[in-house]
Amino acid sequence: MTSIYTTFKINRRGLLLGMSALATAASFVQSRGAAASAEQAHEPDGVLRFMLVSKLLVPHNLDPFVGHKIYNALSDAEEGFDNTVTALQDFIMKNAVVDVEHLMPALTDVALKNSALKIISAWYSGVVHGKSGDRVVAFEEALMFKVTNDVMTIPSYAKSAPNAWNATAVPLLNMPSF
Amino acid sequence: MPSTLNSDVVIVGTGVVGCLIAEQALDAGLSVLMLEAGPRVSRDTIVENYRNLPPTLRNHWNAPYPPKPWAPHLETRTPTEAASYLDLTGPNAKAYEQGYVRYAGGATWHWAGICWRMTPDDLRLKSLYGVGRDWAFSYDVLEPYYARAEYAMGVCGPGDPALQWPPRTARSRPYPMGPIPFGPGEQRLTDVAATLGMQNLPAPQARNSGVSFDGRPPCCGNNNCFPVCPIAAKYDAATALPRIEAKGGRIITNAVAYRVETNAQKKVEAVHYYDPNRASHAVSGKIFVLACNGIETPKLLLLSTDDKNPRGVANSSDQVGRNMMDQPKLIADIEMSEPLWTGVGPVQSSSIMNTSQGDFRREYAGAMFRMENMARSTLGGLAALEKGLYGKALDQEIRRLSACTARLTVEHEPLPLPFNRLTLSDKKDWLGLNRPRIYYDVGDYVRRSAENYTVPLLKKLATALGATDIKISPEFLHSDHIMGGTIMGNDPSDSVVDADCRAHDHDNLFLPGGAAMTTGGSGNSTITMAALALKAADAIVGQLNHA
Amino acid sequence: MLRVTQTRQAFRLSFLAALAGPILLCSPASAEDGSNTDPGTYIAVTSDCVACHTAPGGKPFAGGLAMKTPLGTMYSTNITPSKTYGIGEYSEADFSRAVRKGIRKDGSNLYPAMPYTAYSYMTDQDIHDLYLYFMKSVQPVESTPPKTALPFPMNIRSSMMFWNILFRNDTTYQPDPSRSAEWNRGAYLAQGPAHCGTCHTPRGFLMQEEASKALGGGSLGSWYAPNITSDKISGIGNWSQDEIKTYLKSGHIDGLAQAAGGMGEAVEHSFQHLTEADLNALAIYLASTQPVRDPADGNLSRFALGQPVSSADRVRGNQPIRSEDNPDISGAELFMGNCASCHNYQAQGSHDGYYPSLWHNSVTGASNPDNLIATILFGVDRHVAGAQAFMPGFGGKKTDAVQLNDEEIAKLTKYVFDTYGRRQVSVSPAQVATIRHGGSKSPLLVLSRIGMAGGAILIALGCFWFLRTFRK
Repeated sequence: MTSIYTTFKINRRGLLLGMSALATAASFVQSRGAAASAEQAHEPDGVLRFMLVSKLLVPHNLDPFVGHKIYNALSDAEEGFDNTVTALQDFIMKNAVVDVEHLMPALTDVALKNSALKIISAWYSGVVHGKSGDRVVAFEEALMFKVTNDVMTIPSYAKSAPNAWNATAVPLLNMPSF
Repeated sequence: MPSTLNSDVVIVGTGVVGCLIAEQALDAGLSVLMLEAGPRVSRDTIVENYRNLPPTLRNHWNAPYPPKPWAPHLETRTPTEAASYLDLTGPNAKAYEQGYVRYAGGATWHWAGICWRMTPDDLRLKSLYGVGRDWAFSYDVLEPYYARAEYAMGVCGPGDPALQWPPRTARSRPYPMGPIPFGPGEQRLTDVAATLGMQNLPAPQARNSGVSFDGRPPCCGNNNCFPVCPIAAKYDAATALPRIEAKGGRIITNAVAYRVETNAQKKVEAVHYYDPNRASHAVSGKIFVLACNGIETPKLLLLSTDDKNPRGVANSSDQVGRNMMDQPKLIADIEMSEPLWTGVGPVQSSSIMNTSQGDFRREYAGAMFRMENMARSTLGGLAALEKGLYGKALDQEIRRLSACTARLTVEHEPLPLPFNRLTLSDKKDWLGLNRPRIYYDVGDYVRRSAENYTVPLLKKLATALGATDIKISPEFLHSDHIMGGTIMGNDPSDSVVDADCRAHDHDNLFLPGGAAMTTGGSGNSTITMAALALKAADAIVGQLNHA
Repeated sequence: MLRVTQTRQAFRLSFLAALAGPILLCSPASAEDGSNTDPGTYIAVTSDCVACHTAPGGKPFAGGLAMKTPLGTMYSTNITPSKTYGIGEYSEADFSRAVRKGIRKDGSNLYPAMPYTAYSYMTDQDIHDLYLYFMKSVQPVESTPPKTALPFPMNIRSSMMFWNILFRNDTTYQPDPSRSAEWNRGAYLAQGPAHCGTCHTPRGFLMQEEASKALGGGSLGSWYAPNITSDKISGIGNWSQDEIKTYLKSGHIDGLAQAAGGMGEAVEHSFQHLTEADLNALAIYLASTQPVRDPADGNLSRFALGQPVSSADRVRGNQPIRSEDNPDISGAELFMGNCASCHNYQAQGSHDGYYPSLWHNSVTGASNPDNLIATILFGVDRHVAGAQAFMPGFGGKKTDAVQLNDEEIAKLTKYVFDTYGRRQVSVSPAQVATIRHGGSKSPLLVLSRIGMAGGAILIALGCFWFLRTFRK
């Protein structure tokens, strides 16, 4: 309990810093960003909770800009998404869950579990399936590219200097950290 | 109606064929006017379109090129879209879902850049194997044009004759650039295929290798040749458009040609086009070139039916729209126990060609085998998420699926079969023009090949690669190499164009490109289309200079 | 078009062979570092005569390179030993007078586009070696390049006589005995044959180098040759000697600077071939120059500005799939569509440093936007040690595959400065247009014409007054 609490506190502080940076930065992001920062003024806790829950569901470095877009997209796609996030957070705190590997089997509520998978899916694929079709929230920052970024590039971005790649096969087990 | 527009050479279509001819004509001092049905869109817009697509659409090559209503092209994202432009019928309709782009620059926007020349045997199928047709000329006639095309587009390839294709034939010039290095997947395929007697060659490709070419940068492995090379390291005809304009050529976009008008002397007088407001305009000239690809060119000729041309323009032989070809393709999605790691370098960079030649071609089709070299991170990512994984298991599964899966393809050489035919559909497009209707049957020659030869070999290759699971596509697919619709030959009674791609029926009308190809071979068609374009350009310049 | 590339490559090879002669061919290893090169070849490379006296695709030293100057276009001359078209009839004294005093054999004046003010510092020995090199190692070319025809009154070459009286240096380099031999060698090279000041020292009203701001940065047509004094803010005072050396040798230091335009050529043709000792000497000297501070730089060095920022965050997910270009395209979108594919979406460059980061980069950290605009317009094409560093131009040539217009380049430049480099640098489409067309014109031309017209009016008035007085 102590350890996870500490982790959350650190994360929370980090996120608060991140969010204030976000608020500043949002001023020069285009319309959607501006709208997001306005929304955030009303519901800062919603995004914050979402980032905290995301951090446990997706144990990697998470871009707060992308998080904001995912939060907005999922809020549009799912009724009561804020409540879902709160429920997830409560569950995590109440059960002192330390990581996603322990969380998911413990989540017996199917709807809640599906929401958790949707959040994970959005971070990895960069897309949220909404009521009016797919909403792209990230391409470059989609985490599915990070898993192989030691070998292959994000399509459309330079791999290296011209002709500087080679045929060396990298072991599967060398998972990049991201 | 008096023509307001006039030019020595009028070219319909701004793809690779039209652009190569435009530049040759301009260099010879002729005036050139080009009509393009679709819009002209900047590379940065298309690149960002690609990145803004949801991941499931990013491997749909036409998705970053949304069509204008007046210039529809095939969209296959949904069944409705697939049925919305090409009216396809026949047992292998799916094998003719051709994904060309009606944008300035044409389908080279999303070609792979692969430049396999046809072999001397590919041009003599009838005399060697008793199937198909012979070309109007031999390989020796085509070779210098191949070399010119390689320099016009900037093709890189190996200097070692043992790695060049076709084998044991002289090249008049070396490739302008050396080969692009293999990534791990291609190297592994090369090593494994060799144990089966299949030679995986570094592909000649219109991609700058290590150095700049024509002011375009060298490839830096963006792995996005299709649907768009983000840096123009790959040749595409859109890169030629500013050069054509700098030389004085005029390009009119959003101009949909719908009628070719001939006069009493059987000369083409004008091409009529619609603008996006459905207003009609005419362009007159001395020489007309239809380079709108193998579907749109025969469609336009058939649309131009009138009293003087009861079966359509250039169609006294009744061969316009017949002999539609493409390499019918089968794919094998495989999963292996060990990582292969495709996805490093260009999306295609090698192929097995020696499987395309041999005496067996009396009985069944030769074929090219290759492996897609696309980064499989998106496929791996989506598939792993589909399984409901999370945490470390998710990361491991994405990495495994990205590394340990691959797609092998086999593309069969088609025969020119007159029943594979493009006609005018009763269904109309936005402008009220008939849509192309195409009947397609890959034919027994290809089916026998798949049954007796290629599918067994494909399985052998997959097994040798260590495949634990092999899924072969249940039906033939398209390779996007549209050929045959205005077939070339020496006999005006059974062919549409002569050896210079000039219409037998109208001596100032040229129909160069894929439609003119007499047979298809197993390799990608663009380099042959480009060579034919340059041959036609010489004839056009010669004809106007003698006039 | 390939022919051009091939010819250029062939030219480079033949150029090196021509320069190097049998010595380099015998020991190619020494091509890396000119220590075994004969003295004539070496001084020719150091002086970089070939840069101006060879047209793209032309024969070495046959002249014909068009140089856009603020006063008009000048063409370099044939300096091969052709007796009819080149300098074949020049004696060593004639040669020396041309190179060091700017006076041709026929007595007419050279324009100071020929850096004779710098070459005037060259020693007699170097001039001798250079003369022998041109007479014996360079192939005569029997052709004449286009003639320079500057507009009136600059077409009056004798006007240069007065300019020379004012600005020409008339003594060879005088060593400073209080300094080391290495420093003196570096100073000699920099002031003399390598003629750094020709580009890097700002020009005064009469197009003379402003001695008080030596190496303080100057405009050069489309490009800007930045401040390379030892000033820690405006210059390169924070560079280590090794960094200076590496830069001169390769034209590229990750996280600092890349050479393009004239400096790219200087590295390609000249600096990469200098000996280790001479590069050291140059580095020692450059670290000791009089600092010149540009107030516009404030307290921010151009080398350390900016940081990685995701431009993808700014555009992703809020754009439709378009079938036509966005007329209101933003700087961020222009960056993503045109630059990020190589420089990456945080402008961090490629991991191997081939594509430089756009933060911590002298071009985006500069107070003057010229070099970023010029790089976008004209790209980079630098050949060093057998490898090419290349970036395409984005519309500087009408044949470029991607054509950005003045407004787009202004937006893009502004975005890159604001996001990755120095904030608040102003960039207008008009500035882009100026750089696209070769840089700003000198006010000298207009002013001298006004001046001369004014003079003529004064003389006419004088005559009128005289006649009137005389008649009375």
